[in-house]
Amino acid sequence: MIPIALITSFTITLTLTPLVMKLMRKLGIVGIDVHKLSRPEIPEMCGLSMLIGLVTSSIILLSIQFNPKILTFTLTSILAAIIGIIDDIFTLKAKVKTALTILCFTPIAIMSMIYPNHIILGRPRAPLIGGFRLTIVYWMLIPFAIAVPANAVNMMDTYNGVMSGGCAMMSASLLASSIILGQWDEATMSAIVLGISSAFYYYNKYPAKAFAGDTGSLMLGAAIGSIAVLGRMEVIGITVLMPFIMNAFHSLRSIGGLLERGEISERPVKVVGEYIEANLNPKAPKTLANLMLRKGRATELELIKSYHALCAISSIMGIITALLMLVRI
Amino acid sequence: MKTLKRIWDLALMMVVVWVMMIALIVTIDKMVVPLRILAGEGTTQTIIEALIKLMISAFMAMSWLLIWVRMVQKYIEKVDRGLRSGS
Repeated sequence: MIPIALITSFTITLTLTPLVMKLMRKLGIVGIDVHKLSRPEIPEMCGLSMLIGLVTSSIILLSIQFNPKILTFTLTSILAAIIGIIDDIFTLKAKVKTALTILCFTPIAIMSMIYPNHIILGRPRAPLIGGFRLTIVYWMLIPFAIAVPANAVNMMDTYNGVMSGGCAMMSASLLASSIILGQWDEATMSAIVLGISSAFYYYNKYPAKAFAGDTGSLMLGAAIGSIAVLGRMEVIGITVLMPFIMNAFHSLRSIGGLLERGEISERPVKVVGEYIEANLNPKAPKTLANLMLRKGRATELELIKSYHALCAISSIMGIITALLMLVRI
Repeated sequence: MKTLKRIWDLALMMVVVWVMMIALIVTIDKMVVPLRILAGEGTTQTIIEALIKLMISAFMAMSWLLIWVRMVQKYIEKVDRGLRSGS
């Protein structure tokens, strides 16, 4: 199942993205690449090809053998993508978008009631102790298990290939972790995410020819969150998402919560010629780019490499976390 | 090399936060969960005991987050100090 998931999702996304790019350009759904001197217009919302890749691969897998976990993963991702599509077309308010992503947990809640033997909630695996049991607290926290990764990934989609490349690394880490833990359903789902994100990275990498839009970023974040929840791999999920969480948490903390773009008086970075510099104004959001660039200006490509290096480290830490789950003290 | 220099402190911070997260989980499981705070076996005692354990765990998790925030603040201060002395 894993090779089928990987090959189908990769092939479909790789083939469909140029078509979606053409369609978006035709419809006038384009965004400006603000970190380039020429400020080129790039087709937006191309994450639609990843959605089609994910859904088609899941349908193929479900037609071979029905699996409630894969169905739940697909429904959660679709719901997040729908919110992304609405946001890409109508531009939702930051608070509304975040509130809507909390609803993405609904398919997991419903399916866990229909298939209680397949979808077990409230028993996260943990390194060195095997796992622990949470009942009421888990149900209080679980809506955020999808909303946090979805929004964190969405907030990281600021430079060419950072989001898609980062998600490809994270899903590769989740794939390896699932194999280590013998969780084949989660390995299959991770293979789907790895397939779509790495295929999309081909078009999204520097210099980008396609932007994923919120359609792609919210969907990828929700997909990764759902794999973590369904596979009881929440701790691994937090670990691999650490650069994304760090970016979202510290930037939101520095600006005092969810604000509209227009309400943020200072940008986190400044574009000076071909270089990007940190905005040292205390009011500037402390994004990961702002923190990294405080050590000195960099070209966009150098900054992207730094992001990828951090994602690679967190992905390795994710695999070590999975290995530690096999150890008991 | 440039990339490594740029991310070194943040990567180190990430590793420290990760180790602390694992230590936090193990501490809660090995020390907070087995705690016997109240005598007796009644439902009220069980609920109160669970609430106290929850509060201790939440306090520890908040401390972990706070340390993370402080580390970022220290990093900004350190880098900005370096910038000022360099200029």
